[in-house]
Amino acid sequence: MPDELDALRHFRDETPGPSTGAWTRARAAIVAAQAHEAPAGREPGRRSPGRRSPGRKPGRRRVLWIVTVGAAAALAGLLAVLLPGSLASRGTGGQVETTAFVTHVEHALSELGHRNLIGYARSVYPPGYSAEPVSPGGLRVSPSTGAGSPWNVRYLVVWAYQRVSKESAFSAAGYRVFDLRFAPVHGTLTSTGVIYHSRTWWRGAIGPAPVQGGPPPTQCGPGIRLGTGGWPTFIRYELSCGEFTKGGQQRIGGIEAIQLTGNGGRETIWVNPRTYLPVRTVFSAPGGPQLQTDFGWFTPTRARLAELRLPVPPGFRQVAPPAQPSGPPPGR
Amino acid sequence: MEGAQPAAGDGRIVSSADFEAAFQQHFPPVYRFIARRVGPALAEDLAAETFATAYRRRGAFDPGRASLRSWLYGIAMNLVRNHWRAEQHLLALDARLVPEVDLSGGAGTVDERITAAMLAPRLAAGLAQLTRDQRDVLLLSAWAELSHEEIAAVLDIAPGTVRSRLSRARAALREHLGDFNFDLWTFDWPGLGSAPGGLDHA
Repeated sequence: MPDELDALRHFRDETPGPSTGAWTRARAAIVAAQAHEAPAGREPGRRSPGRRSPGRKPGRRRVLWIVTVGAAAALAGLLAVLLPGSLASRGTGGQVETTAFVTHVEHALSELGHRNLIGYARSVYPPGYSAEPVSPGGLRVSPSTGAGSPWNVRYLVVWAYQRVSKESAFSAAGYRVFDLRFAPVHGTLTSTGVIYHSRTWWRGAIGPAPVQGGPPPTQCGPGIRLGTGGWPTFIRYELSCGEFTKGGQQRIGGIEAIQLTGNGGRETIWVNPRTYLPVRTVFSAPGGPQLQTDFGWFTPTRARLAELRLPVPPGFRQVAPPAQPSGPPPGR
Repeated sequence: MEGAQPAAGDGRIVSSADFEAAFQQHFPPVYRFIARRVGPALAEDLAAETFATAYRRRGAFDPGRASLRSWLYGIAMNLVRNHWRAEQHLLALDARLVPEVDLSGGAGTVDERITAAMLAPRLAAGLAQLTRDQRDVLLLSAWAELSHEEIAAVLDIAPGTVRSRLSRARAALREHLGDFNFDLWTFDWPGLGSAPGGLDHA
């Protein structure tokens, strides 16, 4: 005999199930939880010992990895990452020898500007690598000088929205190594860095703030150069000129992504065929390590936008920003 | 997932496959449970946070103490409790809904739709009048379909307390639906007999 519980169940059954967006949002939250957790050797469920900003919540994210050197002017919101030997000839003034040199500039997610999306990216560095801010706008990634180096980094998490981005680096043990935030201030792109091992912070100017949306690709070649039209335009262009070739499909994070391979197999991008936005990228250095980045693209919410904030922890001392090195990093 | 270890095989969440399986199986019902209580906009965030929290605390899950789904609903309940006002507001809105019924289709189907459309605001009003404790127990039983023991684990109360709260909640809701005829699954219509068949659906 039916009763009030059946009536309630009827009420419940009219509720739609989770949308694709809800699934994506949940997967992103799980990925964020992973990003805030030590990668290996730690008891599941145990809190990471890394310093955390007060009130910081596991985030939502999005990110983009690109290999470019010194391409600040060309980038409108892209994070540029170089691995040893990769893309060395592609830079516009930078140089890469045996070490990785990462230049991040504000350009990467030009796509975000067009679509009003928040991008999240989480990159996994090979074991034994360090990442160190070497200028207000430069990050050097290179083989570590030793297990005790305070710059040893295993994960880099990036959030970006329009022309603001934040990068957070974590050690293999889950410690927060540094946070960098980039934002235009009165027409000048500025960066704020918080270095946790030294309990210091700095603020510096990089140069004129890039205009949202650079030029579209004008020539085919390895690497990722986003311009007007963002990812969809870039991917279509690279496919049209044969730089990238389509592979099979692979389910990544709940998305049936299409695999695109370019630069002699060194660059692989998995793309959501519905949006042409990247789901994952993998860059391989010749005979060297791989850099894998997973992406998420989300509508802006207050909680997600909060990921772009960078509060300076109490007691941290302000110092001068690091100076740009004149040549390749030492000791390589 | 990073740091994945071999599956334990005893119900614990150890490997990435364990967590993925739990996510695939339980996300839809947990999402719907939350959405029904606080609305779909807030549900997206709360359901996501439920599983992110579950991932972070997966090492603390003990299948010997609670079923996986009751553990997940426990996390969800803690999040939903922080949005009591949102739930009350949603119930108040639902209670004021003017029933809208799509009259296309067969007559029998229309009857069911009319009943459902009229029942929804009454149920919402009835739920809104329950105490928070009564509502939690009632909805974990009716919507999450947890056993008394599972509800006791979720809310950290004795099974006997679950039974008494559920009994009071059901009685209060039934009283609020006083003119609903559960046997005929329709409201009693004054002057028209018990069934809505007196309505002309043609």
